[in-house]
Amino acid sequence: MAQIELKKIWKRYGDVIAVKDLTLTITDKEFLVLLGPSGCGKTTTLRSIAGLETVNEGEILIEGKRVNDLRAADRDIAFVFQLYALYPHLTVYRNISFPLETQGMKKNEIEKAVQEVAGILKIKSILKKKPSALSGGDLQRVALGRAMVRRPKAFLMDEPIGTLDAKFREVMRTELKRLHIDIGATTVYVTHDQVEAMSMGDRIAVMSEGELHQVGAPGEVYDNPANLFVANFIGSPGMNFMDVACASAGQNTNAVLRSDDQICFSFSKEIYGRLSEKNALGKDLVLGIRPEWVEIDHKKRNGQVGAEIYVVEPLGPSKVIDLKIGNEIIKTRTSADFEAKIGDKVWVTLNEKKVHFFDKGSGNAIYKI
Amino acid sequence: MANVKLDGVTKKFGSVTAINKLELDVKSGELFVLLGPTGAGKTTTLRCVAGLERQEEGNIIIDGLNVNKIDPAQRDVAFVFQYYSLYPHYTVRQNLEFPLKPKIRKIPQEEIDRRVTEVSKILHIDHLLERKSDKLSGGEMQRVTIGRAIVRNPKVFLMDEPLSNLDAKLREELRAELKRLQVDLGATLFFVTHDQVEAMTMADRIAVLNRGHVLQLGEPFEIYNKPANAFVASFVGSPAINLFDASIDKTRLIVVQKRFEQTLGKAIVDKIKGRQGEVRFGIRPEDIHIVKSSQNGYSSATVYNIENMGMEKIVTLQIEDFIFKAVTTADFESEVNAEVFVSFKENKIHFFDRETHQNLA
Repeated sequence: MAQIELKKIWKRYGDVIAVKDLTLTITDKEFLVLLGPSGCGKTTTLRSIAGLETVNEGEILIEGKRVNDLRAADRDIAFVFQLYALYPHLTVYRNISFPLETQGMKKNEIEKAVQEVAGILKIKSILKKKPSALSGGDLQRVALGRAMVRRPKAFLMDEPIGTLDAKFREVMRTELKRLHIDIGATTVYVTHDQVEAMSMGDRIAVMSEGELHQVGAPGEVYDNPANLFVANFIGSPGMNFMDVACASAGQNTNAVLRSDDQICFSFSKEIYGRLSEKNALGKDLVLGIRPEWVEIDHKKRNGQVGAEIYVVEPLGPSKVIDLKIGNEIIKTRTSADFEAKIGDKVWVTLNEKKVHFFDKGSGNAIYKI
Repeated sequence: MANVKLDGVTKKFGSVTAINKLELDVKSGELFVLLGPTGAGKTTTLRCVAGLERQEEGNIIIDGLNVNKIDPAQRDVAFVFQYYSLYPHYTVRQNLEFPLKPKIRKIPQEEIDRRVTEVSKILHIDHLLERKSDKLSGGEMQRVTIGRAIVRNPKVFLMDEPLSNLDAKLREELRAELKRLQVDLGATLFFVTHDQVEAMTMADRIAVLNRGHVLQLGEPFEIYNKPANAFVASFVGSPAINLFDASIDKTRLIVVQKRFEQTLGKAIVDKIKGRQGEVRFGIRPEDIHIVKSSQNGYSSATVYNIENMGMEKIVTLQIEDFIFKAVTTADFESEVNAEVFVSFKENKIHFFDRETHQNLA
């Protein structure tokens, strides 16, 4: 059981609080992604697990044992910094066997360990080659092999594919994820790229400014973000936000834009009911809706709000269109063949089942959809 | 705003030919993107236009004027690099003013102030004018860097992967802003990137470059739907197009040692002029249809991996040794190693020549 537990971790650098009261359990065999913008504390957290940083407060447990006072080398986890830090003058075999040689393992045992790892990673055929002769994908496997061969309890990876070309990153994502499925070791993976996080994580821990906002499976953080930060950070493009005031109007709920009280989105009274249940009606609210749930039409139908096309971004199979509604700009995602030119007037409906509301003050989601 | 023409430009570094007889025509007021992998020659191309490199052969013509013999400073182009190169001890205002200050430019302080104010408003950095530039966030620094280029009112903007140094989220935000800015200014923007999403979302036209050669030039929609060859097809689109070796026997498409077969309709057979035999076949992930139970016209495959991207899922599939990807709606449910059945949308199939990789349509 290679479970990693972080309990109320604090890490300060002078006046700067890098990690604030972090509590997180990473379960055995889980691929947990620490996701957040630069400076959010994810790398500090990873390095604390590794033992490369000491925490000011809190406990770190690996397999139920407190490791705060254990040196990095004794924690039995493998830190994969950059996947290309291989010894250029050694063969693949020796790059992988090296950590075992330094431990004084017997030659035939080393051979067995290396062959086993090479088998799992499908690199038996390149064992005699040197790094300069390898493709990027193979280099990555060898680097992983070097980490794996020591049979660590867990792998810690710090933005390992961030510096690669966009195309290559895509290939490596699937490879790393599949390797994780095959190897089955607990992995903690740091990235600022939410596409990577969504694609690879069993769960994603979203951080900013040292704080943990939400931990959940990709579907969960996407469909039910706990607060404004998560809602904006996850998803590409991120969720649209508009400050609104909600009121009941007969059979409807009206969400009026604070930036222009002539503009109003109309929903069924069910929305009013849900907001009322949570005592949210008196509060300043932020309406959130993901681009794919903003519907637009060239012809006006009942209850739609007028908008002007501001930017058109073709993506290939779809388009992202920036819409100007009063003084707000929100994005919609349409099919690639939707006709759109800057300046066009269109009509907007928001899919009621996918509308979120957040408390403007705390940023927290009012209810789960 | 100016147009930029590259006429048979060749640039070598020792024995390496970085760009080879390159022909490009960037129109006035266009956002033109040079897209390609690392080492394709994109930065070299841009640097030649700027005058930071001197080409061995060919002409660079800006606004009708051959600038081959003109120094970078005199070419009236503004170059925005990947790494924001601001003066850290200067305020934002001082950084923005700097390009206008040299006495040789003879711009009165009043005019300088006016331009700085205007540009800072456009880029939403007017509230930062008096802040020292080392106290800015990454996104703010990049805006100031772009502002420093705009303030000079150059004929052409050259940008070398200006967003690739930023966090993914910030990149996304600045992309749309930059596009809108370019439209509002009516600027000629010659933009280089390896990121095809950036190219697709921003460009009026894209030139796909590899190994110093232009493989295809066209609007995003065209590059995506009518790729000239397999390289272009696989470079644009995410997840990438799936490419297989296949053979066509009369109207039967056979892939993966007969494990996958599909009958082709007349439309597509005509599109490739009745071509038979060995081909290279491509299908984009969004054009693969997956069902849970066997149906006519569908072939069996195993689920290799599932990525939940939120608004859709990417399902990696396996037939024999072949791994390929499909995109499904977010509600698709399955597990690794499950058996599913797939079919390819016929009007979206691409055929490429097995040897030359050129599109057969």
